[in-house]
Amino acid sequence: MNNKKNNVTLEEYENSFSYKKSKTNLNIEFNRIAFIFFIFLAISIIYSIQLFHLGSLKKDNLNKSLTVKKDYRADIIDRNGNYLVKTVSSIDIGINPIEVIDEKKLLINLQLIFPNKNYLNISNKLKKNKYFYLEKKISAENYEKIMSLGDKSIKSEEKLTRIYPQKNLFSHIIGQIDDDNRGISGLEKSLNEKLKKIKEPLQLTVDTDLQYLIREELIKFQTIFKSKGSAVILMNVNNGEILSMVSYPDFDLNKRETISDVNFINRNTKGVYELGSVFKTFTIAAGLEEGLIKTDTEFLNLEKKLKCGKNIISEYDNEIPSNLTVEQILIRSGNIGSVRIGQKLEIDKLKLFLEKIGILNKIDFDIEEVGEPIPFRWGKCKLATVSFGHGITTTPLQLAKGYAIITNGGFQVKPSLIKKTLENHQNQKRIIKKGVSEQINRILRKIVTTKEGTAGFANIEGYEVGGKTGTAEKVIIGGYTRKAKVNTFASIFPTSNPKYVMIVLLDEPKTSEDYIYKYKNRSGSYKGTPFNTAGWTSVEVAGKIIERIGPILATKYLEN
Amino acid sequence: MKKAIFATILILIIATSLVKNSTKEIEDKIFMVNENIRPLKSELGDVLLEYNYLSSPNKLAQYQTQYFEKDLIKIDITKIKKLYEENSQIKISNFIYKKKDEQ
Repeated sequence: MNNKKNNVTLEEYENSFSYKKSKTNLNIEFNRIAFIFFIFLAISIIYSIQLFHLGSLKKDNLNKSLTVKKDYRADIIDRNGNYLVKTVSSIDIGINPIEVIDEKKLLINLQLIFPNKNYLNISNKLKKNKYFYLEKKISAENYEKIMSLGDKSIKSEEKLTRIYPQKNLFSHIIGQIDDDNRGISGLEKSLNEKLKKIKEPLQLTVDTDLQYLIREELIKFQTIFKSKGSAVILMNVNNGEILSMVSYPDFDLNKRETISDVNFINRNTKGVYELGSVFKTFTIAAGLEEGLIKTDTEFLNLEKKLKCGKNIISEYDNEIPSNLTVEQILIRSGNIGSVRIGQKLEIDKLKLFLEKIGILNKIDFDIEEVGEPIPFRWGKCKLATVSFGHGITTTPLQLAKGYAIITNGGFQVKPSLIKKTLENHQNQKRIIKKGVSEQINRILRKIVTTKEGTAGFANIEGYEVGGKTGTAEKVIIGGYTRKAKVNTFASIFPTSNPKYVMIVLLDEPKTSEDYIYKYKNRSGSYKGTPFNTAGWTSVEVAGKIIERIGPILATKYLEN
Repeated sequence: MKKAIFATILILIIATSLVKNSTKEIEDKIFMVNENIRPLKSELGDVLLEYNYLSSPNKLAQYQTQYFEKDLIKIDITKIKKLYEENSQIKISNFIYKKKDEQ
């Protein structure tokens, strides 16, 4: 009989173990508590690392997790925070004919919501069994009505769209985008990638009110002088901020039309023109800069005509005296006197000066539609013609830059449309000697205030306007034509401490028989335009513009 | 010594978990606030757009001709006056002074 006993033996084991390292006598003893402690330690280290990682993350990286809607572009605002462009979401309503259950009922319901639609056309589309859009950018009211129909065939698609509340006002500055959300002109093109990336609105230097008033004046004078087009730039001479840039004709950005007519170009930046006598100021400034002349330096026995190669250079005004000081040459816009100053300067010095103030080369600007001055070969005759502004081309924007530099004390200026932090002369480079600006500004003022000056109509009380006129015949095949002119007035104000430069350009203006001019430097008025010159056209426009925008500039921008 | 190390580590663990917990709460609050701000921002943008359109110079000129009989007048800068305080008295001066060549 095998009576085996099943014995269970319980043994108590030591729940500890020891590790001995003989060489260092290090004795580490592990037990359960130590094990749990290590687990906690590991967890706390992981959390600490995570905490440190989260703390060190930049705000931008966190924001990246937010989804950016397709077709998003940043809004654009003016210097006062008014919207010039805004991206808004809109809803398009489409119909999928395959899902239509009761066509007749659907058409009746739609007719109640959209009574003005062509329902014969819609019925035909339904029969074609192809998806089509019924209404694009539907109003909130109609959206609610149509969705309450509960018809499965009605589809809504949310889309982002660009709205331009100022319509035509900034068409050349802002530019257009294509259907693929790519900028094709203006800032929309040059800042295409930036506008897709940034979240905050892009602030420009322009002022909506000034832009509107200037454009209104241009439209008014377009009907008076019947010019092909016109352009105005208003720029701060000290920091290069462009407060207004109008080129007329313009276009409504909301219509998204394809613009192929060259008359719609941005004349301020893309238009390359011979601008005539406005260049004489540069010749004289170069002479003063080089110390070759002073404002009272006399030029005696000036000829009435000069022959250079095939060309004859003559005075515009035959009454102009033969003996003139430098100041009188600029005030009376003497061609021969300017040639003499140019000859004193010689090619290298005049060329260097014009390059220095940014007239001769293509300008680096915020938008890509920028014209390139036509290159030419310098020679004795070219020096003579360039001295009084013929045979040399540039854009109105570059002219504004040049006038800003020679009148602001001689500091470098970069015209800009995008608002930056305030820049002052302390970090601007002086490129023209001290004292030149003061002498130039005094003469520019006299051109407006004196009887001999050519810009009396711009003498608006309270603004100390100074400036130089330029009347240039347009180049056609084989030479110049007297029929088509470009009349320009480059003005600065106030001349005692210039803040603004304003260029007014009229492209092919005509004389007006009915327009009544009111004299500024004497009493009385004059009916009709006697001469198709800048003094009787562009200066009058500039005067009217300054009269309207002056109070805004004087009060709103008092501190700038 | 051992006890001190253990105690320090324990305090660190507790502090870490507390900080983490409070951070999470703050994060949640920030998220909620951001989510609430987003539609408000969008709404503000739309209202501002409407305001900018309705108060644009073009519209204001249109309203002026539509609702008022009198024309807008140009401000003559020589007639603008400045108000300023001097010795507790309010004084009036011209906004600009005529220069010699303007007289």
